[in-house]
Amino acid sequence: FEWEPPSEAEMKILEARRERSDKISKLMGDYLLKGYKMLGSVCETCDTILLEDKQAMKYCIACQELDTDTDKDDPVMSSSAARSLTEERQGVTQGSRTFPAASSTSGRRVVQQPSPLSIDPRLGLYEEGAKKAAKPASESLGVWPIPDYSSALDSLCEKIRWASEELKNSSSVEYSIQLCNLIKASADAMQSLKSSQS
Amino acid sequence: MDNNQGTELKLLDFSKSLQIARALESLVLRGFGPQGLQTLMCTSTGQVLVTNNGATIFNALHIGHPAGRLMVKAIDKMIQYTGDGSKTFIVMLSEILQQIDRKYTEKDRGKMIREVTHFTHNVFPVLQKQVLDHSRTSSLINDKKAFCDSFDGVLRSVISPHYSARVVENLVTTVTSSFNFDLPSDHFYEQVSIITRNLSQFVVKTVGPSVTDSTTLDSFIIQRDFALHLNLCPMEKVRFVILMCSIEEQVKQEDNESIYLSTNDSLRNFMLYQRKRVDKFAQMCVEQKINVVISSVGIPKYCLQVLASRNISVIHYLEEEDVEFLSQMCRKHVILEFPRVQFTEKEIFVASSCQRVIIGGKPCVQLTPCGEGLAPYTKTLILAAPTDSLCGQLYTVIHKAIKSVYLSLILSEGPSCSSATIPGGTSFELMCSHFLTTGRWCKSKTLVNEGVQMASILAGAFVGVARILHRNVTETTQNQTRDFLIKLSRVWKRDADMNSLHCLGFDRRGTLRDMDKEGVLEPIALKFHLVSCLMDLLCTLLKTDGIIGT
Repeated sequence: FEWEPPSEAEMKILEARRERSDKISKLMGDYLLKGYKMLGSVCETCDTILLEDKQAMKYCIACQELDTDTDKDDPVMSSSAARSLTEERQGVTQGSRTFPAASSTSGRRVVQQPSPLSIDPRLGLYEEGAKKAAKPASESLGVWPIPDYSSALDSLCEKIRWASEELKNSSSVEYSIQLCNLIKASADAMQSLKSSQS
Repeated sequence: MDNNQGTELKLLDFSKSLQIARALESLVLRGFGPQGLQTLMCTSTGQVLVTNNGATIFNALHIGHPAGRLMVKAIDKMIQYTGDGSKTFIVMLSEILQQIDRKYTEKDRGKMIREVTHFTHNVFPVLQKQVLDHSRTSSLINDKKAFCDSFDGVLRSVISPHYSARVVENLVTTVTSSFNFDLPSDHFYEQVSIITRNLSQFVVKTVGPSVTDSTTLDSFIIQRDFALHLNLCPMEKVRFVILMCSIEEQVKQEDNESIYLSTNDSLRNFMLYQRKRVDKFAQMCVEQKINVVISSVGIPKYCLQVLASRNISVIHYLEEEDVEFLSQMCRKHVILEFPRVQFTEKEIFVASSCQRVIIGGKPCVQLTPCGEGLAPYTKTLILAAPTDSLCGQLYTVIHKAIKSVYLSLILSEGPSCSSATIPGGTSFELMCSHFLTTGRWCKSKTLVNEGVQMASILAGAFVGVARILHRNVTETTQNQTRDFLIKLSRVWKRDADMNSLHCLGFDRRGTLRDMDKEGVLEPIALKFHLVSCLMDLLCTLLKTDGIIGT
């Protein structure tokens, strides 16, 4: 067994977890002062120690306060966050395309493609989320189109295939987690489509 | 794994213990040190509490988690002995658990338990010896001024987190004046011991405009008025007895004796018999020159009239604790049953004066016991505060301070009473952190790998305590952490240069000073006991990997 020091990404994740734990502890202290009771049981979702208020209602700080705070900024969970990140990405790609080519023998202007490292590959996921959020307003009014399950299923299959390929090549823990979430969400969507089709 | 009641066994990993310790720590963090802030909380009975006493805050919380209750209980047990140190305890526990959570996994439990055990048995004694070599010891007989300064210094260090500097000095002077430093060593030690164990009998709480109105009063104060007060001759000594029984005969309920008293004759005979008993008691008091009768039970009015006719004053409805305390102090016996012929010498108390005084608008009795064999005590503390709850808090603080003073005393052969203290302001913590970090404790090559981890963790915990004190006493700036690290390196460099451990600590403004000269001292026994309790609790937490909670 050879021990390897954690990578920078893993260190960041560990640090983020510690900060989260510290926030939970601080909030827990505040609630204890307000008269909440610290229970011996933990939350089934996030394994945080549960509190109980004076009406005997159980309360999880992490699920009901901390995670709801971060969900709104998480592009995977929130469409508005995904849209804003996509706009950022488009701004970045447009900026990179205006750079002249480093060398051009034929005199043609070579469009310099942005290097993969300069753009966060997760933005591809967020774009999908933004597209889902940017539905035309007319769809919410008037006549609903007849759903095309087969094309939706095809798209979902393609998305799962793409995400699987990305997962093979991914070295980032966070990106991998988000790809897994995407695969899971796509599979759930396929399940729903198949059940409504039947 | 399920037990019969349906509750599951849950994992208690390092992160859970850390979360609980952190939650408790967050409640008392800002109250740490001489500039500590108060916490306002509402108890379950609706009472509003304003305090920064760690133990008071923790006991007012509702904690159902077994590990949390274990921590609070450990702090409680420690406080019963030391009186102080609850905030330092939880801060150090939190720092230690944080380091364990960062550096170790659940598989390392066994290794950590061995580290803690090795530290407790091998490293801690070396640390204690090193600290004792650099502590301040002063004897009551040989160096009375230094002894009194140490006494004041310990009181000051405990009281200062709760009140302003001016009020602290006033309270230190008041509390010190209630002790008699002219007693021989063993009597002085006994005096402090008696006051520490029975402080409620030595304190009268009264509502006053300010805490600085607290004062002392000679003698023992009975917080009751005279039921019958007759002028006593000022030249004569007061002879009194203490009753814990009734003068009249009680009707026996189990025999249904009241049925037999239904006729006029039997009732008349019974009342005559009662009157004879009272007359006999009064006659005995006259014959043996008893001026005052003190009773824990009520004395009926007709008995009072009989005693008044014999010129005997009466105080009744005394608390049983006060009665027992007087009995212990004067080394006399109380009367538990009606005497047959006369009172024995052991049952007759002697006092030089017994008079009515008014304290806080309430009439009380000031009693000055005297005679041979009297236990050493001198004065009663009158604690004043604007409200009843603030008075209660003042009492708690004074009790803590007196317990700490008692812990600082050592009675050695001679007999000789001396005081063993160490400068405050986290001087002890800074000293220990440097000692543990430099590894000077490790002199044996075979022990070079053992105890190193725990020593390093504990050194970090000590630095954590000093860092929190520094943060609380200095202004919050961006460079606060940098300032602390600079000061820490200065302390350690000075220790390294002089090849000894010096007692620099943080004063009220966060400046590094020799706290010995500042007059802020802490009892060494308190610090050692705190570390010992911490190691015990840590060992228990490490040995526990599962809980069955509510």
